[in-house]
Order: sequence, then C-alpha cells, then structure tokens
Amino acid sequence: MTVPGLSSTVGRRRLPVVGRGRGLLTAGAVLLSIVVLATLSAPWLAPFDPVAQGVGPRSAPPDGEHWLGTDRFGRDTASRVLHGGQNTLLQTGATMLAVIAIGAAVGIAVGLAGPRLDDLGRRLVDGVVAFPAVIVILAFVGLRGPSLSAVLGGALLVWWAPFARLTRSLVRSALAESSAVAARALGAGRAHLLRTEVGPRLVGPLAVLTAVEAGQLIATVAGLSFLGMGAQPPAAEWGAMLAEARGAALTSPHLVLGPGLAVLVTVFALTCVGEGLRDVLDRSAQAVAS
Amino acid sequence: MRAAIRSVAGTVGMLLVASIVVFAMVRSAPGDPVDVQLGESGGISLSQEDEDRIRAERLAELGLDRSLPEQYALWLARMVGGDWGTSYRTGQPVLDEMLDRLPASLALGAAGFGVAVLLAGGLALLASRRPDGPVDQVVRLVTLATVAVPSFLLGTLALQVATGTTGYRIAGPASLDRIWLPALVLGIAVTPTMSRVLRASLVAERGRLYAAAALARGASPGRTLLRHVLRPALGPVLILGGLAFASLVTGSIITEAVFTWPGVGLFAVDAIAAQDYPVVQAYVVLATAVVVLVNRGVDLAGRLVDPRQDVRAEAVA
Repeated sequence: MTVPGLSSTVGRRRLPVVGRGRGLLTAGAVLLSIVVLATLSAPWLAPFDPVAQGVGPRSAPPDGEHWLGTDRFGRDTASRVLHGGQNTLLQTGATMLAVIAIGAAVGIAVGLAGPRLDDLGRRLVDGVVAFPAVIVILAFVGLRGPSLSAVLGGALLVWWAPFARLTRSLVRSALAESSAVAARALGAGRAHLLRTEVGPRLVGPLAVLTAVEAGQLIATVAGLSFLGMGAQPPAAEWGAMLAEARGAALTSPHLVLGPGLAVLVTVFALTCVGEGLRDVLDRSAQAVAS
Repeated sequence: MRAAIRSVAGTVGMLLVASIVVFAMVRSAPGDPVDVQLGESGGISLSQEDEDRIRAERLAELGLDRSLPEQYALWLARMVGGDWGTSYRTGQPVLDEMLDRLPASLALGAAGFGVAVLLAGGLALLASRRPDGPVDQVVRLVTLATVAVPSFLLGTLALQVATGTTGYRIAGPASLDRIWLPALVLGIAVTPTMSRVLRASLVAERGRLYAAAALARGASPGRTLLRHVLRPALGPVLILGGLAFASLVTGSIITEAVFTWPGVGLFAVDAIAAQDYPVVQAYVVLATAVVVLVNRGVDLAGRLVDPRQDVRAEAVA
C-alpha cells in the first residue's frame, strides 16, 4: 500500500541526520556516565559537606562559590545534589531491576502458556499498563504514609506491566519463527527453546524499554517527592530536597533548580540512550531482513 | 448493536475489577477505623472489657464483622449510592468536597489538552512535510529534550517569570486570568509524545496510494492533507489521546500543587499529607473511573473517525 519514493527524500540533498541512531545513543551514554560518576565520586567532588549547616549565607542564589546556591540552613545545594544522587540512583536502579525481573517472568510465563491462558494474561497485563501509575502510587502512599520506599513500593505494583507485555509479545513472535518451529519439531523442550530461540531476542528490546522506563520512573518519583510523598527532609536526596524546595519555591526558586536540573539531565540521558538504542536495533533488524 | 452492548459490558467489568482493587487497598490500610475512633476517645481510659465490647459494637455497626465479599458489597453499594464518607480534616461529606473542586480540575485539564493539541498538531504538521528534513530534525530534538523536563521545574520557572513580568497572582479562586499558565505548563508536558505519534502517523498516511492518487488527480497538497491524509492519521492519535488524558490526570496533580490551583488533585495531595483516608480513597475511585471511561470513549471515537477499525476488529474476532 505504501509508495516508498513519495515521502522520502530521494532526489534531494541528504542532510546528516542528528538526534537519531548511534550518535544519540553515544551522547546519552556519555551523559549518563557523567551523572553516575559524578554522584559516585561525590565525596571527592563536592565542594562542601552536604549536611553541614552555615557553610554559606542562608537562601542565597547561585554564585561563584556556591554554584547552585544555598538553602535556608546555609547548606550548599551543589554538594547536596551530588551526594543525594547516590540514594536516588541506587534505589531507583534497584526498583528497575525488580520490575524487569517480575515483568520478564510474568511475560515468559504468559507467553509460554496455552492460548486460553495467554489471552487472559494479555488482557490483565494490558489493563495494568493502561492504568496511570501515579494514581496507584498515590493510593499506596496514602495508606503507608509518605516515604521513598512507599513511592517505590507503589511503583513496584504497576511498573512491571510494560515489561511483561513486551516480553510476552517477544516470546510469542520468537516461538512463531521457523527456527523455533523446527527446533520444536526436533523435540526441543521449553527450557531449550527459551535459552536458544527466545532469550537472544529479548535482550535488545528489553534494554530499550529499560532505559525509557527508568527515565520515566525517576521523573515520576521526583514529581511525587516534590509533592512531599517521597523521601523526607533533611535527607540529602533529590526528592527530599525538592520537597523542601516546594515550600519556598516562590521566594527561592533556585532551590528547585539544583535537584530539578539533576533530574532533567538524568532523564534526558536515559531517554537518549533508549531512543538511540531503538534506532540502532531497528536498523540492524532491517539490515538482517533485507 | 452487539458491539455497543459488548462495549458497555466491558466498561462495567473494568470498573468492577478496578473497584475490587481499590477496596483491597482500602482494607489493607494500617489500623482499622475503630482504632482511630477509640484513639480519639479523649483520654478517657477504658477497661479492656469495655474496649472489647465497644469495638465489637462499632465493628458490627460498620459491617466490619462480616465476610470480605459481604463487606465489599456493602462498600460498593455505599459508593454507588453517593455515601463516600466524611473528610477527617474538613468534616464535610467527601463527595461534596470532590464535586466542589471537580469543575476547576476539568477546566484545567481541558485547557491543557487544548494547548497540547495545538502545539502537537502544529509541530507534527511542520515536521511531517519533509521527513528527516531540517525542520523535522529540529522538532525531533526539541520534543526529545522536552520529554525530560520535569513539570514541577517548568512550572516553578514559569511561575517565577510570570509573577515577575506580568504580575501573575498565585492566590485566589479558579479564574480565567489564572488558568492560562498552569494550562500552558500542563499542555507542554503532554505535547512531545502526542506530536511524535501524530508525525509518524502523518508520514505513514502521506505515503499511501490514495494520497498519491489524490495528488495525481490534481488535488492541491493542502486539500490532499485535509481530505485524504488527516482523517486516517487521527486514529492512532486518538488512542494516544486516551493515554495523554491519563498523563493529564496525573500531571495535573503536580501542576495544581505548583500553582495552588483549587482542584481535586491539590485536595488529594493535601489529604495524603494529612492521612485523610476517605478523601484519598475518593480521589483514587474518581481518577480510576475517569481514566476507564475516557479510554472507552476514545475507543468509540476512534471507530467514528476511522471506520476501518470496525472491519479490522471483526476480521480478527
């Protein structure tokens, strides 16, 4: 049905494509490594003690010495952002690993099951995917009381679903490949099929989804923490800093800026990695197909 | 007709499943309502016997001594009947509190959606004119960067700029001279995903034979776009519109909090901080119902815009 030449740039001067593919992946990966390395080396990198009060004037906007300003206790925001990243990234990372594991397990179980069970499982997973995670997390926090573990626990309840949906569809399509059909005809068991036919096809797409969803998770947790649902002050954690900043957002907006920019850069890096990886994988899949 | 009945039955089914989940969450709250009430008995120390007796009476009164399915049925009947309990904080019926604030939230959501449709539509139309052309690449980078901007950061900065330059006032009731800023922030947050889906959809539809045929018959590019490309391209966008709506519901919580917009979201956030369970429960029920109903509505609207979906669905069934 499609006419390939009609909407392509044939006959026109081709521009170098930016914001796509390998370049995007590299940019994202570099940015992400910088963020991770900077937070890991916070003890050496941070100019001030993150919990020491009065290392500078109170509620001062950014200047040469305190380049993200200071909070109302005279603590150095930049040092707190660097140190706080450790907690944020570590806990978010652990949550991501858990939801990938749960999602992949559910997806494989549903995908390997018979058609009836598969249909039921698919509907259930689709239902969870369609539901806004924030509402579930809010309900969970409403019952448990605000804390970072409550937010991440609420996220755990729903965030596995996109991984389960993707894994299931990958398992189904992998089992329909002629090589898998042949292996099965030769008497291969489920474990063997999973290892040789399904497994290799899961890695790439799951990596893409992981990068994109990790960014979403960090953004969501930060937003909820800003509302006071997450980690509580005085912890040096991005969310807790945001919660503290919200009360003074009108008079000292620079308090939002520090942790806010940290979240922005991290989410941007993860998005670039996800999108770039998707482009690269798509292209190599096309190269194999043609 | 059969499709309509099935659709209604499906919606009711989804709402029922959601209600069971919400009920399970409510029941898993730490401490039961009787604990709360006994704790509030004003320092009068009761003997263990009295306390046990009062507890049993109160449990029976609230129906908490029955089996879980019975409790669920009672709870559902009360919710459907409009008895949503009383807010611990304000002492007012929760349903009234919610209905008071709903118009402000709906207005903000609608305005935000309007902003997103205008921005995303414009960006997608620009970008899809020449796939991978310079405009497309710029739009692509801009949307990629916008995805990463947290709405609380955007909101705080926008508020700072607006109060400084236009004398924007954050306090007061919901009004027209207040809504434009939160609507803008909310709309920008939803724009990137929407414009990317619309762009991909437009690029795909422009490459179709019927678009080529229209051009070959001498229809102007503008006419081809409006009459032959836009309508089929809207199908995927509508489905995404449903998802975007969900992110509007959640995004509006943060936007309402930043701009102290007196809507349902701000009320829920304050309720969570104060452990006002009836309000939290009401918010979850309301948000769930809205999301489920909108998703269904989007489904139906998609069929009206692109009737081929009906045929495809039947071919699959």
